Parts: sequence; C-alpha cells; structure tokens
Amino acid sequence: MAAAGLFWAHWLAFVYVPMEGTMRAAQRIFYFHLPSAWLCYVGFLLCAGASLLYLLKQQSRHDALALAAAEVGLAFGVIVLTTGPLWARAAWGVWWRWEPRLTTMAVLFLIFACYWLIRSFGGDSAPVRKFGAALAVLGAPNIFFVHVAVTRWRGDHPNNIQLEPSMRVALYSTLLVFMVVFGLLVRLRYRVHLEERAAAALSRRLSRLGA
Amino acid sequence: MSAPRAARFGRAVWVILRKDLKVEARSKETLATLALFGAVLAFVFAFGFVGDPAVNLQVTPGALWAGLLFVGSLGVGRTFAREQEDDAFTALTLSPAPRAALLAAKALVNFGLTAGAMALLTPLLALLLHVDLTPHALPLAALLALGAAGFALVGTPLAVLAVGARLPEVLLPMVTFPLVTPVLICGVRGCAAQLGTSVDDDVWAWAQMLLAFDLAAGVGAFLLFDSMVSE
Amino acid sequence: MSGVGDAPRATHELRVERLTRAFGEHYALVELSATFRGGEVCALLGPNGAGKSTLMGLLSTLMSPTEGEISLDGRPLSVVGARALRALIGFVGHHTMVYGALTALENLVFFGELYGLRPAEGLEALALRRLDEVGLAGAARRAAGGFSRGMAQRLSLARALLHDPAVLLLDEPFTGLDQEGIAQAEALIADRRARGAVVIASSHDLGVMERLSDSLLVLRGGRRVYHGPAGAGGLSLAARYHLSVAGGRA
Repeated sequence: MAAAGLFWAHWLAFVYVPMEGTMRAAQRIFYFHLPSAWLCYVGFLLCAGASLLYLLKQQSRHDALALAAAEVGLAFGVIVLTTGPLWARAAWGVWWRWEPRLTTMAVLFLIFACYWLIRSFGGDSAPVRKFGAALAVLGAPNIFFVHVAVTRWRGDHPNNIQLEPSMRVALYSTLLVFMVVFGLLVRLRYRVHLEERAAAALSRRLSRLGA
Repeated sequence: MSAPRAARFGRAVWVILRKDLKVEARSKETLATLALFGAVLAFVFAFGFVGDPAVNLQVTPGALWAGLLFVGSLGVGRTFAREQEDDAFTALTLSPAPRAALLAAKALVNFGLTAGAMALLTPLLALLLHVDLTPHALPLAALLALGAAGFALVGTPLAVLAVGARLPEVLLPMVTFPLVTPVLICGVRGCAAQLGTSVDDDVWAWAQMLLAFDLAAGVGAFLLFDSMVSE
Repeated sequence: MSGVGDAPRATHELRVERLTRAFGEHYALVELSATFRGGEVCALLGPNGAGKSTLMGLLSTLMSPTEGEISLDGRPLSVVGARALRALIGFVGHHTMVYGALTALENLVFFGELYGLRPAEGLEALALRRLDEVGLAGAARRAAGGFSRGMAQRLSLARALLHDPAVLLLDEPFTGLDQEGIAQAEALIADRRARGAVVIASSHDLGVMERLSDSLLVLRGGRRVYHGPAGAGGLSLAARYHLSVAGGRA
C-alpha cells in the first residue's frame, strides 16, 4: 500500500501538476523537499522526546524509539539536503545559502548524525545510551537558538507561497504518503531494535543457564 | 535546595575548584598548552588572512571565535584527561560529594582556562592582524566571556558523560561543535557589529542572545545532569 | 597503632541479594546472595574473569546492578540512595586514584574536605596521622607524582582509611608493596576489623589472605562456588580455594 502511495505521489509530482512559470521542472522537487523537511523535524523531535523519557524513566523501549526516530529522521534529512541544493541551484544560482532554515537544518542534521555515529560505534552500554539521550535532549532546543540567531543574521527562504489547487493536492498527497512511510519505517526500526535487545537478553539468559 | 544542602553543594564546588586551580598553578601544563596553541592559531590566521587593513578588520571576529572554539575544546578535553591519569576521577565519583557540584566546579575551571587563553590570544591576534582593538576591549571581552561560558556549559557535561561512556576522545569536540553553533553565530555577528564591519550594529542584541543561550544551557545541564550520571 | 579509639565501635553488616550484573550479553555476576559481617575479613577469591572486580564495583556504587539489591545495616541502597553509602565506603582499586601534582598530604586533605570530614584534631592532623600509619610520614610533603608504585599504593590505602569507613573494599591492596608495607597494611586492616568494619579483600597473594581472612568467598564465572569460614574442615585457605574452583568446574 505504501509502495502504491509512493508511486501515486511520484505521478502527482511529475505528471499531474502543471509546469510552474519561473522555476519550470525544478519546482517539482518541492513536493518531496517540503514533506521530507517536516518529517525530518518530526523524527528528531520524536528522538528528543523519547530520549527525555529515557533519561527520566530508564526504560529500554524509550531508547529504542529514540534511536529508531533518529535513524528515520536522518534518512529524510538526506532527502532534504540533496533536494534543497538542487532547487537552490535552479532558484538562486548557488548550491547553498546561509539563511535560517538551511543552517538550522544543517546543524540539526549534524547533531543527530553525531548521535547516530555514537550509537553505532560507541557500543550499546547504558552510559552510551545516556550520552546519546543527553545529546538529543540538549540538541533539540538548541535549534531554537540557531534559528533565532540566523534569522537576525539573514533570511530569504521562500515563505507564504501561493499554490495552485492542483499543486496543493500534490503537496498534501505527497505529505500524507511520506507520513505513512515515515510511520512505517519508525515502527519497523523500533521493532528491530526491540527484537535485537530481546535476542541479546535471551542469549544472556542462555549463557547464564549453561555456563 | 534547602540551606544545608546548598551549603554542602557550595563547599564541594569550592573544594574541587581549589584543587584544580592548585594543580594547574603547579603544573601550568594546560594553560601553557592552550596559550601556545592559541599563538599557533594566531599565526595561522595571520598567514591565511592578512590583506589590506579593512579586510583584516573583517576577518578578526571570525578568527577570534574560531580561536575560542579550538582553545575551548582543547581545554575541556585536558581538564578531564588529568582526572583520568591515575583514575582520580573514580575517587571523585566514589565520594559523597554531589555530582552536580562536580559539574559546576569543572565548568568553572573550563571557563577560566578558555577565558584565560583568550585573554592572551586576542591581543596577539590584534597585533599580528594590525587591528586596533583597544577602543573595543570591554565589549569584546564581555562577548568572549559569554561565549566561553556557553562553551563550558555545553562541553563540560558532555565531557563528563564521555568519560563515563568511555567514548573515543576525538568524538567529543565533534559532538560539541554543532551544539555551540548559536554561540558562534551570535559571537561572530556581535563582534562584527562592535567592530563596525557589518550593516548591523546592535551589539547588545547579540550579547542578550548569548546570555539567553548560556542560561538555557546551564539550566538544561544541571536539571538533566543527575539523571545522566545516576547509575 | 594510634588509630584505635577514634571511631565508635559499631558492628556493621553488608548484605547482597540476588546481585546480578550483565555487560551486554555477558554476565559478569549471577544472582549472588551473601552476607558480609562486620568484624570479619572476607577474602574474595577467584580466577581471572570470575567477577571479583565486578562485585567490588557494585559494592562501591561505581557500577549499578542489573538486578538484585545491596543493603548496609538493613538499609537497602535502592531506598537510601548511593550517596548515603558512598560516605561509609573506603575503596582501594586497581588504580591508585591520587593526584600526582599534589603532595601526599594535600591529596588526603582534599579528599577529607570532599567527604566533609571535620575531626576535632583538625583535618591536617588527621591526614598526617593516616600517613604515619601507612609509613609515609617522611614523604607527606612530597608530590605524589614522584612516588614509586608501592608508595602510591600506601597513599591510596591512607585515602581509603581516612574517613574511618564502615565498609572497606580492597581490590588487590598489596600491589607494589614491599614486605614491610604488606605487614603495615595487614595491621591496619586488622585494626579496622577490630572496630567492627566490614572488610572485603581480593588478592592473588594467598599467603597474606590466609593470615588475614576469617571467611572466604570464591567466585568462578560470575557464580559463587564457596562461601563460608576460611579455615573450615582443617583445610588451608589455598586448599579450600583450589578445591572449590576445581569443584565448580566439574
């Protein structure tokens, strides 16, 4: 179903919507860029929230959810950071600009990339989980400051865009499909982490019985 | 916090702080390393950026804050390396002193080291880049102090946790840098505003933002620190 | 020994119940239940990887148990909190845990202040007395960084004994000590035992442990294979140890 949804979203974005006047084909990137950016933020926020719960309650499942959300958020972040510059090249003539949303996204992506790196290479002990959780919890509100700071500094991201009805249909459809994909992926990764931990606990119990 | 708890907390902070200062005063290792590192940085910036005077003034804020970033992360790493030398950090965590006192003392030490190193690095940079910073001395010092505080408040709890998690040392600055991005932006823009190299001249607004960041980082670190290190 | 009489003679009791610690998939300690009585030295023995250091880490609150409970004098750690226990523990570990840039005296005074000690005689006098007890009186004002391993070990012992702990955890306390140092350490441990402290010591030096211990806890592969009187059944400590390790393997 999700696959069919994705196909439909692509069809909408590439065939259904009319060519936009100034941006031509590059505008079609927008239907993937914007939903991905939102879901990337949702993923990182979810990670920070679950991490806070983990720090307060020390329950493995909250940590598993945080890790899953960060992974999926990063995946959507990769889409944002590849489609963004492609669009920027067509729209602004440069690949990158130091304006609030780009910078915020880049910094946020870096923070959670570090999170993922530490969780991947630091081993899976309680102190490492706590380090990751602290990073996520301290990193998420950090973004507020980055955004405020860069906004004062400079800003020219497209805002309050007027969309044609057909474009709106395409945007909301892709958003909906991406949300479903996001939910499925987070659930999948969450379950994988839980299963891994259950397997580890089981093999511990076995070694305990057999030693 | 009740009065006796606050007194105990304050005493523990003071005891650890005094110990660190005594060790530092005796070995002078960290401050010497930082000062020398700062000098090397100053030379690199000078080689890389020196052009006509207007350009020099323009690169000064960037050079100052890049210096703060490097010196700060080196200092944070050093203060913990010394605790790990004979595993004395274990003896600290074995003691009944509150863990938050440990954080506060270490953050103060890191702040002092970074601020001290910057006090040496800033005049040196001014000298090598041929810019006259004396009319701006006070505002610049205030901005740099706020930045050093922000760096210490973010870097110190992460360093304590990294020691506990036995993470490789290289990971620490890498993790700290993205988290202090607001400090860098506000600091560089604030300095540029002060030196008159940008259209924006509202230094106070940037200082306020730095202050807000420091407060938020401090509150966040101390609220969460106990649950971070509690076993 | 000048230490006698500066602490009330109270007998303590340290108890662990189903204490378990896992590292990832590996179990370092499995459901250990034991009672350590005050006024006794318990020798903690076992081959490498038996779980001795893990048990020491758990008892010192440096590690947290995966399952199980530790209680001192009937007060469980999960209720009173780790900090309440920390003030009552003296710990000698694999590392000497002293600051090389400080003198021996400054090291002790620092830790004394950190523990909030306020002896009537003054902290410095107490520290000097402890240094005298471990035979470091002459080196009190020398930087610990220049100490030999044996001297640093003596300083580490003085640090662990500084606050007259109710529980003394000694992980290889004789490392680097010469014969005279070992004899001094033995006397100090015996003195604390006489004053009702719980002493748990692990060492590969079976001769010293034979002289010193009242009870014996043998671990192998994270499990208890013997816990009882050290000299039971006319067997020497070494014989009892080897027998229980071999028995555990079968």
